[in-house]
Amino acid sequence: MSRRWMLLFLLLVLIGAAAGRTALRRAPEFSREAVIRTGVANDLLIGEARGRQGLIGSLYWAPLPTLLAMPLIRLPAPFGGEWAFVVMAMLAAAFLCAFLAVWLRRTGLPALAAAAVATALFCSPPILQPLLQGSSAPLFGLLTMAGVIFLLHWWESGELRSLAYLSLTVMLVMLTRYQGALLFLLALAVVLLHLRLSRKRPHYAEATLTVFVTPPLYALATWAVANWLIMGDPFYFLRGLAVNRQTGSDWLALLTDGCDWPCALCLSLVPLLAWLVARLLPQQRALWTRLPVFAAALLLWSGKVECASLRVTPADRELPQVVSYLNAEHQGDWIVVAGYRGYEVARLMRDNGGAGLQHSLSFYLDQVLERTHSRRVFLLIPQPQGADRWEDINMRYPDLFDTDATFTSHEKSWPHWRLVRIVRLDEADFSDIIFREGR
Amino acid sequence: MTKRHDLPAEKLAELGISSEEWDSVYRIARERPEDCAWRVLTPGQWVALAALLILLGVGLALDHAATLTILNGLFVAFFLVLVFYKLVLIHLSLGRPREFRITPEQVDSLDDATLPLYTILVPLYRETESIPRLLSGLEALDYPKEKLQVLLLLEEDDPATIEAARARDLPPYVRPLVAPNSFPKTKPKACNLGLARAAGEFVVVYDAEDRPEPDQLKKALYAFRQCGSEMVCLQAKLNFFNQRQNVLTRLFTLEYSMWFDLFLPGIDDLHAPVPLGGTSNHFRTEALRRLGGWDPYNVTEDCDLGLRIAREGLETRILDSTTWEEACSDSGFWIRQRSRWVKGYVQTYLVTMRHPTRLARRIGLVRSIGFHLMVGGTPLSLLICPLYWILTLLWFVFRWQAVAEYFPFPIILWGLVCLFAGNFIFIYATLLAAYRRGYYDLVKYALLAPVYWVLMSIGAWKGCLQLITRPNYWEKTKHGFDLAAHYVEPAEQKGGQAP
Repeated sequence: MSRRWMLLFLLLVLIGAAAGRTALRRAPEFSREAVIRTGVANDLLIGEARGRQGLIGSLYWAPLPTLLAMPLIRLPAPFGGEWAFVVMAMLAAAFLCAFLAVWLRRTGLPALAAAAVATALFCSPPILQPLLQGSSAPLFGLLTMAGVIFLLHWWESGELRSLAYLSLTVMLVMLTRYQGALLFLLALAVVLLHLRLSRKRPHYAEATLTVFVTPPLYALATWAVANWLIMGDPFYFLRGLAVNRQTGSDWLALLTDGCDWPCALCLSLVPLLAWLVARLLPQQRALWTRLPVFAAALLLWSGKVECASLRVTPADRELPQVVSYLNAEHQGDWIVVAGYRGYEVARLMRDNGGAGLQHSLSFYLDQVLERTHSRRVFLLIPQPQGADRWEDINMRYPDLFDTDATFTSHEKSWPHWRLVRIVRLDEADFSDIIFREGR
Repeated sequence: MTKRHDLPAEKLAELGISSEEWDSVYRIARERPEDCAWRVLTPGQWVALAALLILLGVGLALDHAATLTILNGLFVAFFLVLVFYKLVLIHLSLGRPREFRITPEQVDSLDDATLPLYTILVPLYRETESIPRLLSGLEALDYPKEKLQVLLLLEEDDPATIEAARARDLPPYVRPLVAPNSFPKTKPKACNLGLARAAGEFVVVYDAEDRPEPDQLKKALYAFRQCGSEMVCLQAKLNFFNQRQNVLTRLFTLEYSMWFDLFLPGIDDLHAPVPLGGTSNHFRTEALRRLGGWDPYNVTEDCDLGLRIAREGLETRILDSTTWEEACSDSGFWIRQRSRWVKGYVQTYLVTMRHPTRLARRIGLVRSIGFHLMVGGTPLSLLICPLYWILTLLWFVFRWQAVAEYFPFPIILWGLVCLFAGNFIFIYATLLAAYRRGYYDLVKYALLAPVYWVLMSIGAWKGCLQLITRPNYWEKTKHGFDLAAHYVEPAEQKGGQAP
C-alpha cells in the first residue's frame, strides 16, 4: 500500500465527509434502501426475529450492505442510524476509487491524471449523490469495476492473487445486489475461455475453477443455510424470482430492478478502456491516447447516467399521504404491512403517531388474527411494481392489489396503494385459507 | 539443575567429546536461564497465573453470566484480530514477497573455489531405515564435497542406528557424533553438540528423511552474501514428498504449503519474528554460537530460536528453496507430533513472556503482535475452537437458548463474522496455498480442512496437558511410513514447484 494511494484515499474520504456535512446541514434525505436497511439492522440489534428474517429472507435486499453498516448503526448521527450506510458506503467507495487510481497508474497513466480520474468518478453525481443518501448502488458499481480490473489483470498475468480477489469481489457483488450474478457468469465465461486456451498441467482447469467458484458458492450456500435455519426453507430467499416470473415480469425487469447498471457499466468502462489503450498503443504515452478513459469518466457527469436506485416511484411519493390518512382515520385500528415497506411506514408513523402498526416480513393470516383480536384490522398493499413486486404480500397474493380475496373487503384505494379490511369471521371459516397457505 | 548435566570425564572421552563441547550443550540453561524452558513457569508467572485464576473465580462467583460474556468477547476479539492478521499475511505473500528468490544464473555465478566450509547437522534417533536415502540426498547436494562437513548426531541409547551408520561406508565428509545418554533427551541437545563440533562458516540442520533441493546450500550462501551480518538465519521452505499417500498426508501437505508459502513469506514481509520450522534452518555459525545455540529443554527449539534471534535484534529471512520431508501418514503419530509442536509453542510463548516488554522494545509493538498471534495465538485458537464448535452446534441444531445469554450484541455479530467469514478465509487460504504450490489435484482437498482442524485441536489439547505432566518430553515423530507402505510418488503427479 503506497503512501500516494493512502493520501488519495484520505482525500476522497475528506471530500465525502465535506459533502456529508453539507448534506447534514440541509435536512438529510435518505434513500428508501437506507431506511429499510436501518430498520432491519435495528431489529437485529434488539434480537427481533424480524431482523433476522429481513437480513436473509429476500434476494432483493441482499445482506452485505446491512452487515457492513451494523457496527455503526447504534452510534449517534452523523455516524449511526441511516448515516451508518452513508459512512460505510463512503469508505468503501473511497477505497475502490483509490484502487482504480493505482490500476490506472499501472496502465501508464500519469499519477496525477490517474488520481484526477478517480476523484472525478468519486465526485460524480451518480456516485456521490446515492452515497449521501445511504444507497449501496455505488458500492455495487464500484465492486463491479473492481471485478473487471481483477479479471483483466488475471487474464494478462495469470496471478493467483488476481484470481482470488476476482472471486471474492464477485462474491461481494452478489451479496450487494443479486444482479451481481451476471458478473459471476461473465467472469466464469472468461475463466472458461482462458482454460480452453491455456494448456497447462493436469488438474489445472479443475483447480482454477475451484479457486474461482468457491467464494460465490460459499456465499450462496451460507445464505441458503441461514434461510433454512431462520425461515425453515433453504430457498425461501429465492422465491421472489419464481413468483415474479409467474406474474409475468420479464427477465429484463428482474435484471434491472433497483440496480444501477448504467453507472456500473460506465465505471467498468474506465479500467477496460485504460487496459485496451495500454495494449493497443503501448508506445504512445501522450495524454490524448487516454482520451477514451477520461471520456468514460466524464460520462458520469453528463447527466445521462440515471440513478435507478434513487428513482422516487409514484408509490414512494404517495406513501406520506397514505400514512397521514391512516393516522387520521384509523386511530385505534391495526394496520398490517407485510414486507420491507413496513419499515418506511413505521418510520412515518413514528413521526406522526396514530394508527397501530403490525409489521411483519411474511404474511400469515392466522398469526395476524391471533395478534390483533378485538380491533379492526386493515392490510396495506403497495402496487406490485418494481421493488414492490418483491413484497411478501404481493408474492403471496399477487392479485390482492386489484381484487379482493375471500378474507378481505375493499376499504380505500390510491393510485399505487390499496387498503383492505381483513374480515374477521369465526376462526373455522378461515381454515380453508389457512390450509391453502400451507400453514 | 547444572548437576543433572554433569557426566564423568571418562564417559565423555569414551564418546570422543571434550568437556568444553559438552558444556556448550547446556550453555543457554547455564548462562541465560531466563531464556531456557527448563522450567515451565517462573515464580512471577505463577503469581500472574494464580491472580488470573482468582480473578476468574471471583468473577464467576459474583456474576457468572457477565464474566463468561466478557471472556467470550475477548475470545471473539482475539479471533477477529487473528483472522485479520492472517489475511494481511496472505495478501502480502500472494503479491511480491520479500523472500529470497535466487535464480539458477545467480547460483551459477558462485565460484566453487571461493565457497566456504558448510556444516550440516543431521540428528538421527531410531531411524536406521532413513540412512540410505539420507546419504543419497547428501550426495545429490550441489556443493563441493570437500567443503562439506556432515555430522550425523546419534544417541548413545540407540545402538541400532549407531551400528547401521558404522556399517555403511560413509563418505569422508560424513562423520558420526554420538551424544551421551542424558536428560533431556531432545533433538536440540544433539544439535548443540553438533554446533560445538561444527567447523563450517555456515551451519544447517536437516532431518534424516529430508531431501533438500540440490542447490539449496548455494542459494543460502548467495542470500547470506547479499545481506549484512545482522541477518543470521535463513529458513528454507518445507514440503512433503509423500503428499498423496493418504488423505492425512494430503491435508498435512496443504497445511505446510499454507504455513511455508503463505504465512512465513508474509511474516518476512512484515519484518516480524519468524517462528523457524524444524529443519532447513541455515545459520551463520558464529552468530548461532553467540546466541547460545538451541534450548535443549524446549521441544520446539526451532521456534524458540527464531524468537531469540528477533529479541537480540537480529534477522531471519525466508529462502525460496524447498526441502522435501516425509509427511506423517499415521493419525496416531500425527497427533503425537502435533502435541509436541503445540507444547513447544506454549513453552516458547511462556519463555518470551517472562519479560513481556522485551520483544516489543526490540522490534516494535506492531511487529511483536505477530509473535503473540502466531506463537501464542495458534495454540490458543486450537484449544478454544472445539468449545465454539460445540456452542455452534447447540445453538443452530439444538436451538439451545442458554447460549444466547453469552452472545449479546455486538459479540454475536462479530462471532458470526468469525464463524462464517473467518472459517471461510482459512479454508480458502488452504486452497490458495495448494494452488500456489502447483498441487492442482490437491486443491479440492482444502474443502476438508475443517476435519483436519479437529485433529489439530486434539493434538493441541494433548500437548497442553502434557506440558503440565511431562514438559520436556520429546514425542518422537516416527518416519518411514512411506517405505513401509511401499508408497511411490507417481511421476506425473510430482508437481510442487516453488511458488
